[in-house]
Amino acid sequence: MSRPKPGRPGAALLTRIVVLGLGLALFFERAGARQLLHLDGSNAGVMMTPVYWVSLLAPIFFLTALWAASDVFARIDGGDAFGPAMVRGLREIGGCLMLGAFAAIVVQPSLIFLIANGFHEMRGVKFDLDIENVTLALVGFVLILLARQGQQLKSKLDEFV
Amino acid sequence: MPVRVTLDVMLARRKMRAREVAEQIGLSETQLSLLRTGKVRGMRFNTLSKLCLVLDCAPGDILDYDRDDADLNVKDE
Repeated sequence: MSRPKPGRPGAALLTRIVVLGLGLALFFERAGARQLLHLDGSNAGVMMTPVYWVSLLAPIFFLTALWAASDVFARIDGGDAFGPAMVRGLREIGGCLMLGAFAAIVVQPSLIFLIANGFHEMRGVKFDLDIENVTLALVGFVLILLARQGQQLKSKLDEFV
Repeated sequence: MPVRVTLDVMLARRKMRAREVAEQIGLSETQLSLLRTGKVRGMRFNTLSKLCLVLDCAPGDILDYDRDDADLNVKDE
């Protein structure tokens, strides 16, 4: 039986560093953008505004997906065969991508609208149907389906001795 | 499936214990037991080769086939 090929060494570490960098950049970039636009009137309290935290919702899910990807890379680097842990990792990536896309498409626009109107006015659900987010949602869904398919194939393969 | 594993017969002929064979071919006792009782979907060629080597026999000595015309209509899962 051929063993699975190990991945590129350090891919997991590199991904984690990228995730941390992106997380920090996002944190300060969002704060900076809101300061520049003077959206909330006060520069000092930017990070305390609900809109700021709501705007971080989708990116946090996407970063979690990347972090889960780094776990999968670590398993591949370690020479792990395709197994339950790998399936769980792929599902996690897919799930986070779908949640992030859902947050970006529906949750964020609706919440930001609600907050901006002081929770007084809400007519239906607001949504922002960006092609990027829809694509990410579909990619996440495909990953979940592939993980399920892989698990079925693996369990069939395990029935061979 | 009409393919039968007749490993037990060969083990008896060679006066070998299943545990000993499992150890030599690198399978667990449970796996070999499943194989002996035909509770597996299939056998890898390298497992078959190892068994043949250890038991000094040919594949036909550990596998048997009961003819069944319906086999042609069996679909792959």
